[in-house]
Amino acid sequence: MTDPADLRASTTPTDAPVLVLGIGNELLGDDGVGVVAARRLGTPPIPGVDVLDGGTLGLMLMPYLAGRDAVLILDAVSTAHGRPGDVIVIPDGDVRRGHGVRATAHDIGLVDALAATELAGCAPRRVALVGVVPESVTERWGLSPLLDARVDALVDAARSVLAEWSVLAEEPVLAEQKVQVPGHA
Amino acid sequence: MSRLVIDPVSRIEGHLRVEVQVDGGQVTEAYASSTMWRGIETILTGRDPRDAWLFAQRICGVCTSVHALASVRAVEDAVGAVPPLNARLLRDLIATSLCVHDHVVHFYHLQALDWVDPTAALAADPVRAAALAQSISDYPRSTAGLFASVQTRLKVFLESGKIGPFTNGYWGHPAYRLSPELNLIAFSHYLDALDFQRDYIRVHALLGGKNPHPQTYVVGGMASPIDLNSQDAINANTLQEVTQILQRGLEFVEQVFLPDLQAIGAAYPEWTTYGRGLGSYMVFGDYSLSPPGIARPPRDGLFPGGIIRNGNLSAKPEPFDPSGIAESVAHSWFRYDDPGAALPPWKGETTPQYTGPEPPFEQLDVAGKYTWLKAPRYQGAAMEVGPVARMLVGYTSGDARIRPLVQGALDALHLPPEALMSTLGRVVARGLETRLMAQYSLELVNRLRDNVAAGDLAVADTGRWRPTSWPEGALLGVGFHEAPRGSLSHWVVIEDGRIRNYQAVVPTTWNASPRDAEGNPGAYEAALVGTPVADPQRPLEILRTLHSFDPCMACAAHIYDAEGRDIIEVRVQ
Repeated sequence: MTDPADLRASTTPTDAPVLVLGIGNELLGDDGVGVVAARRLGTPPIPGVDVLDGGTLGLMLMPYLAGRDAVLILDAVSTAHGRPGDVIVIPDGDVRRGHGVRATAHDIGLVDALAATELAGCAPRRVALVGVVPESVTERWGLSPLLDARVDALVDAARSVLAEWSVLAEEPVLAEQKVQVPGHA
Repeated sequence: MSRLVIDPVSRIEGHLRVEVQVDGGQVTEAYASSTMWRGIETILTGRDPRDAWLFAQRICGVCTSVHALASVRAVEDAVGAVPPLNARLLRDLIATSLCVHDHVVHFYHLQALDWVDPTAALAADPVRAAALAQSISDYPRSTAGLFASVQTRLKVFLESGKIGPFTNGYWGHPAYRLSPELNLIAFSHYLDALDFQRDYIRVHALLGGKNPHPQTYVVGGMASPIDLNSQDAINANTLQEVTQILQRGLEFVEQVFLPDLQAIGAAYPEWTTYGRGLGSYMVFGDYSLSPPGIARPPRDGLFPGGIIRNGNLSAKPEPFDPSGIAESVAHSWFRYDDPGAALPPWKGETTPQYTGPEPPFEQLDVAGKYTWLKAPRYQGAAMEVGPVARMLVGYTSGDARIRPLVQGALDALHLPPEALMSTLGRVVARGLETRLMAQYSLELVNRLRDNVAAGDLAVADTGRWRPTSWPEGALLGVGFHEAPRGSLSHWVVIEDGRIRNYQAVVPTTWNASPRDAEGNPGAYEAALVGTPVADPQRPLEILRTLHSFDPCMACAAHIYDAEGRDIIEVRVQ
């Protein structure tokens, strides 16, 4: 029972203190940019950080948010924030209050999920949202060329937030580090 | 007379709009519309069928794995791959745990708030609440001290003004009728349900790998190795941990969810007389340990398949015939080559043609096309799908598990079986099904452990992986699944190793269906008629009936008066 491999087999994604959560729907073109960016940010994995594809789970995201030290959300944001491709950071209080967060159903669900963690006494201490203004949200798999070219900028902005939170080590994580998939190592 | 539009009805992903006409204090006409199209069918055309499930699991924000499952089943059916027992057990285990999780969360987050007023809980006496809670359940967290602390937490939360999930509730509405103590108990259990949720989702992580979107399905089986003694597979420790989580989940369902449901049911008896709707129910059947057949749903499983027509609960259900399904677009924003046709899914066409008003608009043209959902019909008839359909078909079939489960609940509430055909009946049936699934999931994990212990480590049939191994010509496949919200089917036509046609007929398309070419309404539309509306400005009653279906999309409702004036637009997250 004390073999570390045994413990690894029961690791769950709720373990890391920091969660990066990509949300959006990849079936709707640029709506999926947060998910695409999360995937890029999570490869290779960052110690102490879980990177999850939150899709459009809305309120069902609550258990993934609960008990974290910090949560960084990656998402497409409203055109009120600028021109397509613009990358913006929405700070903690605004995210929790739903200010500046896009008024689509999955974002409403996210705000509710955050409120539910507060009610349950397990709210993340820090929250931020890094977003990019989409060019076209329509039934299509994959990003528009403009947004595709902005994913790296979104990932860089996300890394800056993580660095502020002192999460990212100065040294880059070695690419050959084994990818740890919860549930079956 | 007034018309009511509800927008959005649920707190979950998607966009559903309901327009109702109110006359004499009740709903006289209702129209359900989906204002968003996902286009999965066109996205999949031309792709490798073995990848279809990865795309399909994005159809719904909440039920990711159910679409993955229906999709791999459809492709397996087409190419002749037979998933081995371990794969079928793993899939069913993932599906049952998703269903239990989903039902519990939706009850406490969504449906319960239609019956429970958290603001009324502030007036409760924690000592009396504890006595009441102890009288209906053995749940250990029923002490006066706990209820007092929950009450304090609620007070602080409500006073903070950031009330998230409780925003837009019709608190203080006269249709709320629970005692302050029962409101406090239910609110306390809402908090406990959050803890339940955190615990229970770990089953998915342990079995499905990458959460929340599973990565472990493969056409032919599962990609997750299983070996009790291996460190690089689902092993004895994994299964032990899964068992413990499922056991705790079952205790929560039995000690918390069902007693709450019974207390709420007893307080609102008239809601067994509203919201009946179609009275016709369809169940494909699912959760079978037998190998799959060809082009038909799983047989002899936990849920028997069958059709109930026009509220007839005295006869055994008709057997379900897959060839009976066809979809009309008479009132949908799609174009068929033959506009009046009802097409079976393998011949389905998905050509969008939006003819609705430019948003934002006040009212839909319900005489013409008014939704992005097609109108699926079974042998020409509209059908309701979901937990109440499964419980009624199981009950009237005389199923050895379902019949006594349903009878016990009916006896406890002093109700006849017909009472299940109602708004409250849907809520109760969902709870009963949750218990059934929670119990069954433990049987599944035991069966899996036994099978693996006996030396069967197979998780996939790889004989039909290469397209060169597939039969020649056009291949037709269908994957049936009983998902949390009801009967789900994915239909695929494969030609030259690529998808030529793909159609997903999802539970909410059945229930939120528009009228068909003959003008017959779908399940939501039918169930809303007759629902009382005491105050059109605060149409709580309409939400009760809509939420009883557990809509998987957020929804908007608009009330109109006789002159078509928009009285109110309600947005409920």
